[in-house]
Amino acid sequence: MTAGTTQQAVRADDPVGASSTERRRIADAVPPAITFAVLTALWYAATQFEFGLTRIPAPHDVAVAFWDMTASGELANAFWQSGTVFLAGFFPGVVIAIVMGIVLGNIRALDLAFSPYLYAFFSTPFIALVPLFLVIFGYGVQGKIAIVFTLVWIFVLLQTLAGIRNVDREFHEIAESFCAPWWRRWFEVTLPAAVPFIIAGVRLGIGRALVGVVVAEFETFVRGGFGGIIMQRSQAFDLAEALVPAVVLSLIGVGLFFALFRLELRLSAWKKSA
Amino acid sequence: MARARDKVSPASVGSPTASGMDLLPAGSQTPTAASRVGLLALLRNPWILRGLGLVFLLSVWEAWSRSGRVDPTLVAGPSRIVSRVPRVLTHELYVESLLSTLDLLARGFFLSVAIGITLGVVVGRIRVLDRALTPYLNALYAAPVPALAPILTITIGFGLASKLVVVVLVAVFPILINVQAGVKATDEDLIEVGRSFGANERQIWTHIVLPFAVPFIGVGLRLGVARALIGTVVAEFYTSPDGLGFLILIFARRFDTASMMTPVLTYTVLGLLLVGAFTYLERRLSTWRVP
Repeated sequence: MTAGTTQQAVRADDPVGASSTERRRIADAVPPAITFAVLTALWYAATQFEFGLTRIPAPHDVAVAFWDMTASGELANAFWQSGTVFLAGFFPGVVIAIVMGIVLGNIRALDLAFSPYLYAFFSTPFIALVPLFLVIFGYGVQGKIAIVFTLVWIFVLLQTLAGIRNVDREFHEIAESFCAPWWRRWFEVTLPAAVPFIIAGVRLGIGRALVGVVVAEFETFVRGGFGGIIMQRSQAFDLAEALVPAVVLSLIGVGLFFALFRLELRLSAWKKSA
Repeated sequence: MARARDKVSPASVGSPTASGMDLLPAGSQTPTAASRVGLLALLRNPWILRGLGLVFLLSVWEAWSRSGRVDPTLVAGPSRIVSRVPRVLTHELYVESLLSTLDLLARGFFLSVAIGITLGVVVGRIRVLDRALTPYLNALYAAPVPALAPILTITIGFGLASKLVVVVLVAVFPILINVQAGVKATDEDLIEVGRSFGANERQIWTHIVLPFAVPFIGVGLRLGVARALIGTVVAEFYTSPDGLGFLILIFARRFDTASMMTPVLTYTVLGLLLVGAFTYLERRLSTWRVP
């Protein structure tokens, strides 16, 4: 499928329209490339000024720092440490949230009883609860995993609930008028409607989990992990090295965001845009 | 599900907008065979259910904190937390911290709204800028802002500027994205009619595009204010400590988890109030929505 191309008149010398598609693709890439050049220029310009305590590191310094840290294995170590915390918190969080969401979504009494408090908990900026979590679960790995778990769990739970509630009433009515048994109604009506919400929740949950890992590592001050490196290097005013994990994390965040966006579109393909 | 047997009005059965917040309509309490049984009717009342839920949660929490399994000095039950509330509220730093938080929140939010609407409208209308900027805006949106906060603090300084940058980075994107979507969604037919009546660009803006975008701005503001609060908390913790965040950190260093909950609950109340207010605003603005 060629997304983004419009119908063009067929030319005798180019019946497939390949050349104009090519030209369009190149034309589309030009503005972002120009922006990239402008931003890089601005970055270099900004390194000349000192706003705060120290200068901004130049892009090539950051690149050198990236190379050094990869070569010394420090980045790989940090990736491993942060990654295990992330996975250990993320997957249980998602699974338990979906299961609880399904239970709550189907038993209306439980939904009514607990939803307001779940929503209130969600409305609390989680960063404010991080110190509490660390005090309760300890400043080590358990604390970090607990933070990531809770961040992901509450979000995916509310998304699952929203998805289950979102089913058009008409579908439920049709299922009922056809005397569909509860498990058929569940698999063929509720679940397909809820899945886009759940996938969206998981996708956005990844972003939240990444934030959770970094924030947990800031507080625990264990030297490893991306957050630890950022905090430690920042305090040592070694900004080129501090920026490396930040940039890597941002790229990971962006990459996962878009990869899962594609997945979400694929899984929602049954839904007509209405 | 037992719904088919309930004689309730159609509007309340599996309503698509059913959230925990809806009340069953008054007419649903008509005396049918099922609901004449008093206890069952009572259990169906959402307010009673919410109360029971709250009681259940608080009891479990209290029991857990008093059981031998966790250190009682670390895990405070609701009873201890509530008993600390008056002391914290009258603490010398509390009001000062609260005002500082509100100040940062207000400044950050207004700045985000200004930037978000301006950029959203510009990027939505001018296609070249859309193509040029969108990839970088998406990248910035997906970047975890707390990871950048210490670096921003050191490069921009320990004052208000770094805090504002953090708040804006967190809050601006929902606003920008929604405004951009609203501007892009403006019906082309409406613009054509405007042009055929001789409207210049500025008039198209003020009479067609912006009014069309108003409901989208409403949505953006509601999402933005929630994120602005989160951004404020991040700024208070990870740039120079200030406001309610600073208070929380003070209590945390003393391992005083009971007192710590009061500023946390303040944040919760703030969040609920603000989102509630802006949801109302969004609903009012949606009356402009072109069907």
